[in-house]
Amino acid sequence: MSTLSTAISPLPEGVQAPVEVTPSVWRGAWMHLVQGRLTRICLAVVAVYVACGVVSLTPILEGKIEDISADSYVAPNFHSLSGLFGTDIQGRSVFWRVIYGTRIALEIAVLASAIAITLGIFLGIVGGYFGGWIDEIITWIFTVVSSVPWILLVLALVYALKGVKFFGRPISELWLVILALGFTDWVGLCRLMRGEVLKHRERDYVQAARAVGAGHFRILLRHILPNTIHIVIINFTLGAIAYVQAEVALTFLGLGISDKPSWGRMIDDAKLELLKGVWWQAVAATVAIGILCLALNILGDALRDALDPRLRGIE
Amino acid sequence: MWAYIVRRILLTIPTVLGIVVLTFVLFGLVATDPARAYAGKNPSAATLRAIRARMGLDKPKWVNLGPTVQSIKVNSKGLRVETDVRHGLEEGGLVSISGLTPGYLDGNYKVTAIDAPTIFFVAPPAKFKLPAATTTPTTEATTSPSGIGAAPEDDASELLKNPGGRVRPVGLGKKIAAFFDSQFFDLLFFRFPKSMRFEESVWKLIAVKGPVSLTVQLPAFLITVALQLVVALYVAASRGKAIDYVVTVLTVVTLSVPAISVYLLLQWWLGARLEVFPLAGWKPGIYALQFAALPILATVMVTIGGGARFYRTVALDEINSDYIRTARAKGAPKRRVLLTHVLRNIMIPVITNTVTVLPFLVFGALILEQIFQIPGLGNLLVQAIFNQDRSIVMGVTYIISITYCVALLVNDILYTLVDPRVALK
Repeated sequence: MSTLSTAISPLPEGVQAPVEVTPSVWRGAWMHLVQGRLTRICLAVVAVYVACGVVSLTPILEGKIEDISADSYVAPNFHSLSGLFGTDIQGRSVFWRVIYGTRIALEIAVLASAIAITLGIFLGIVGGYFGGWIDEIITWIFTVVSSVPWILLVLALVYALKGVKFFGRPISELWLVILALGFTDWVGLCRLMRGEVLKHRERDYVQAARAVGAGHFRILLRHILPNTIHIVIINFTLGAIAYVQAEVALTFLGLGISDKPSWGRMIDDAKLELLKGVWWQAVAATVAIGILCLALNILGDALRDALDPRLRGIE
Repeated sequence: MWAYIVRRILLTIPTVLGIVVLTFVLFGLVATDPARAYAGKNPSAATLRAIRARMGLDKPKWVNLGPTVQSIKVNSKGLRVETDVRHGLEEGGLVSISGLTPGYLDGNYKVTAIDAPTIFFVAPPAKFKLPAATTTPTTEATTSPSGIGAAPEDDASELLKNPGGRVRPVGLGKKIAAFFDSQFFDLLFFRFPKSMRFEESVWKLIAVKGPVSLTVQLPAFLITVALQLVVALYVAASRGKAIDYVVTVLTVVTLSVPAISVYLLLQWWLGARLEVFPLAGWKPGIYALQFAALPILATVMVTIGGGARFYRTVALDEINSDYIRTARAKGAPKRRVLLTHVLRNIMIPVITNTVTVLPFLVFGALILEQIFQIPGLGNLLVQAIFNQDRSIVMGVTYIISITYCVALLVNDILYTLVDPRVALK
């Protein structure tokens, strides 16, 4: 492209082309997020969660989450940070366990999204761009996958993958959840990407790129993908919410995480405690999930408004 | 329009086939042997085989090209059926043999081959003697349409001449039926093995448990849709006011809090602390209402958010359209405009949502029914997952997916009838 633009440049040497100052879509979207008061708060909230997750990745919390020196079921109090959200049946600090749960939630959200996004982008743009029988097959695959209710598909996949040996070791519970969520949730993204690529395929800029001899790979990667990537980003915020909530459901059904203090496990533990009047573990985990999902929901909406208002209403 | 409808119906066929393959791959290629998982620790080989037979796992995976019952052995007295639970023969029962083609006898017993080329048939024990060992090799029995006629001199030939209603020639239909006697086609044709735990067919269980789920889901659904419409219309009409903001925030909150927490906290607060509702449980008949009330409330709370938001967007589109402005300009009161013009025009997305959701009402909710101990289909499914009851998990997953697929089809057709422009696209 650069050789072409210099070749047809009518400007004589030494004359500066007037630079049009139009903020990029991305910059505009970022300003939209930062300038709104609500979205700014949400950004800060997500940043705090990410920070908690990063802290939990280090070994700092390892001792704290299994520390059973306190009494069982101490109600929330302000004597110490550990007792802020009370203790569970074994006397472990609910506060630290909630913080540690952030790590698991983020791991699931990021890694499952990575799988779903990779699959969704790949199948979506390949189907939309090439059309023909490739598109037929991809459309067929996502129609079939989306016919099975998502939670059942996830359950079935966990059920199927349980006990599969990977390099001689069974897949860990965390990875079971990640794989099951990632390999089932690419459908929505794939459908949106396919539809969008289908439109872009005939646009002038793609025709122009084709005219100067760009290959399929280059057109897809350098031209179409950057113009459709906003769908992925919006999808990511909404997907993260679904993954965090699905982890809770899976764990509750006994197919999720049992060996680490995930939020789902805390809620699962709390189902019997609640009837004894011990509410803090359930409430702490619920509020942790609720605030994260609320922030992501609002950010997702704001991003959608900023990047592509037409997507409004497509759930 | 009819061409469109026919095409739409035909397009469903590959999807249904895909669903079968997907379900079958998910449940057929599981890492842990389902029979072993069900049997528990250290099962004997015979137990394992019996479980496999009851789960239908002894059948071939895709198509049945050869004999299926492999567990017959020849000894000096006749044939010994080792395990043939599926065909109703007792373990160790004696059966006699003869040269026959593979197929069916009396519709019950299957003629099978052991170490072809010798082909045998099985019959009720102790009726016939063992024939001479010189049976005719008729391996490719499908070439002989009558199927009978081998080894005319032995005792079994007496049986063949005078079958007494027991032996029939193997017809093409039976042969085709035998070909489709595989795990894959069992799934495709909805022939699920009986549940291991309940010893009942999946259909029977659905018939018993479905109405229970429906008792909770149907009222909850109707209340939810009604409330969603009211909220959406009201909020859309007062756009930009405080109430719009509050409701928008509330709907996002209900979308953000995990459903399980809502169920548990409601159960604790209204059931345990305030004792307004029973904690959990179920009673048949009219008393179910008492137990269904709290789950219905919980379901409404969890599901109202998404739809309300969606309908609000739809209603806003309508409210900003010209015909509404005309109606208002004519002086029609705001309420009438909302209830007649707007409501009628947003009914299409409402109906679309409704039709596709309807089948799921029968299947209930997995976690809700678990928490409130409602003996519905959702609960059954969760129990089946815990108990490794493969037949139920696979059967229900398959039935739900197919039902959903059909619901989408019905929805599209209804849509075409309501709005014929769709067919033109």
